[in-house]
Parts: sequence; C-alpha cells; structure tokens
Amino acid sequence: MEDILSRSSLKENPFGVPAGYFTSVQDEVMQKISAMPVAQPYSEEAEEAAPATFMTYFKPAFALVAVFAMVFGIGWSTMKLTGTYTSGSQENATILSEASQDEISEDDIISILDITVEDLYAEGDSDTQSQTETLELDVETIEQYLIDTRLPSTAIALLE
Amino acid sequence: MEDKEILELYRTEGKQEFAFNLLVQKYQERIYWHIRKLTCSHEDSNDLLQSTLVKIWENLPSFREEAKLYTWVYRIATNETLTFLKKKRIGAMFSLSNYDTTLANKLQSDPSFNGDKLQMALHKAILHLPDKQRAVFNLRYFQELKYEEIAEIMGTSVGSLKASYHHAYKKVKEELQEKFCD
Repeated sequence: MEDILSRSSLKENPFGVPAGYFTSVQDEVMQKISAMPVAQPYSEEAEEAAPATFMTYFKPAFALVAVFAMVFGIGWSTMKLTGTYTSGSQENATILSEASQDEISEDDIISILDITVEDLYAEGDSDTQSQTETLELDVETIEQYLIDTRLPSTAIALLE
Repeated sequence: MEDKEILELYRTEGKQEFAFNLLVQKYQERIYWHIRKLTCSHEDSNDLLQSTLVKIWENLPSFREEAKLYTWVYRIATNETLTFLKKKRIGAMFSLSNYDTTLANKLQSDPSFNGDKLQMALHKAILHLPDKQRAVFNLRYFQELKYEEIAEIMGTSVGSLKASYHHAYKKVKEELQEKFCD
C-alpha cells in the first residue's frame, strides 16, 4: 500500500500571511530592541577579568540559609496549623490532665462500665484465694514430692 | 551570510544591531512557520515570533557557540511556543474546555489556509499528537532537519527522538489512511 505521507504535496506550506508581514516584523522587533540596553557580547577574557565581589563568595551561603529558613518556616507553620506543636506550658497542662485521670474514683469506674462493686473486686478475690491455696501446701506433701522426684536425702533432711 | 560571519560581525564594536538584523532576516520566516504549525494562529505566532527574537537579542551576548546558531534559535522558539501552549492548556482546563478542539477550530476557520482536503486532514491529524511530539514531527517532516539537530533543539537523545518521530508518523499515517484510502 502507498505511504500517503510520502506525497510531496503534503509537505507544501498551505498557510499564508498578510502581505509585507515579515518586513513589518523586522521593523517592530528592531524598534523593541533599540529601546533595550546593548549587552556586551560574551568573551572569555571579560569573564576572567571580572572582579570577585563580596556577593560572589557569599551568595551560595545566603541561598542555603534562605532555603533552611524556608523549610523551617514551612514545617513550623504546618505544625502550628495542624496543632502538633505545643509550647512548654501546654505540655505541663497535658501532664496535669493525665495525672487527674489517675484520680478517677471507683464510683466513676462503676458508673462508666455499668458494673457492681462485687464485679469490680471479684477477679482480684479469686487471685488472692489461689495464692493462699498455694501457700497452704504442708511439709509432708513437699517431702513426698521430693521422694517421688528422687532427690538426694540431704535435701529432705534440710526440710526437716 | 553564514552564521559564523553573523556572529563575528555581532562581536564587532558598534555592529551588534546590524548583525542582529541579518540574523532576523535569515531566520524569521523559518521560525515563524515552525511556530505557526504549532499554534495554528497567525496572531499567536506573531506574538511568539517577536518574543522569541527579543529573547535571542537578550541572550546573544551569552551565546558561546557550543551549539550551532540555528539550532539555538530553534530551541528558543520551540521552548517559547511549548510554554505558551502549556499555559493555554492550563487556562482551558480551568475554563472546562479542550484546547485541542480550540486549535482544530482555529485551523478549520483559518482564512489564510490555502491547502486541499488532504492537507487539512494532515494538519488536523498532527493536532492529535502531544505538543512535544508535534514539534518533533514538524521539524523532521516539514523542515527535514536531521535527528541530531532536532535532538539538540529539543534537548533529548537521538534514540528517544527517533522512537517518538516513528510513533507520531505511524499515528498520523493511520489517521490519513483511514480517511482517504478506504
């Protein structure tokens, strides 16, 4: 199949411009640049001869400081706006409010959790009871355990 | 006059404006047509051509001949136009319109368009390409610049440029063949 884009007629310019347009553009541009100061053409000698000023050395440092200040500023304002940032006195206030949470009374807990006083202490009682049971093991039981586990008689004598 | 001679003249004391005038004479038409094919409007192209030439005047003192003068000139014109198109697209986005449609309408209603149906279809098909690809396609297809020169103008590698051009060429060709070869 023929490549339609290879037709030479397609490469012809179908657009037009007003008569004398390019002459007028040249005049307009020359008028514009005449009003502008004439810049000196670039030359390596001129660049080498250019004296180093205070700003030549400190410009990069100033730029760096400016960037740090900007980043810090953005970070600080973001924290301030979102409420993440707290001053010293606000921090103390937070600690105080946390401390006051520790002082919640039993009545408050019962009303919040909707339980009775017995429920509140029930679990703690059972723990105490089991601990007591553990302590109530008598010497004979321990002796029997040691015999069963075949410990040396010196260990049993120590118990007696 | 050769670019080198223009630049030598430009570096002669008191001859800057004269040398620049020669540069404008040599390049204004080529730059204009390059811009015009991207913007599809004489008014926009006129503004962009003038701003490009002023920019060339401003930057000519720092031109170090690391690139060829004409690729440097094309580069300024292309950047100016692509920046202009980008701004227009952003503006169109905020006004909830499509800039591609605006460009197509400009092309359709252009009283200075003297081409036939096939040429109109070609320029419409080119408008369907992304702006950068359009610039690459125009520089290669219409201005017949070498890939190396286009790479210098666009600031990309020759490899990616070739791929971009072939992709654009295929797309435009398919669109035209659909309309005219069925």
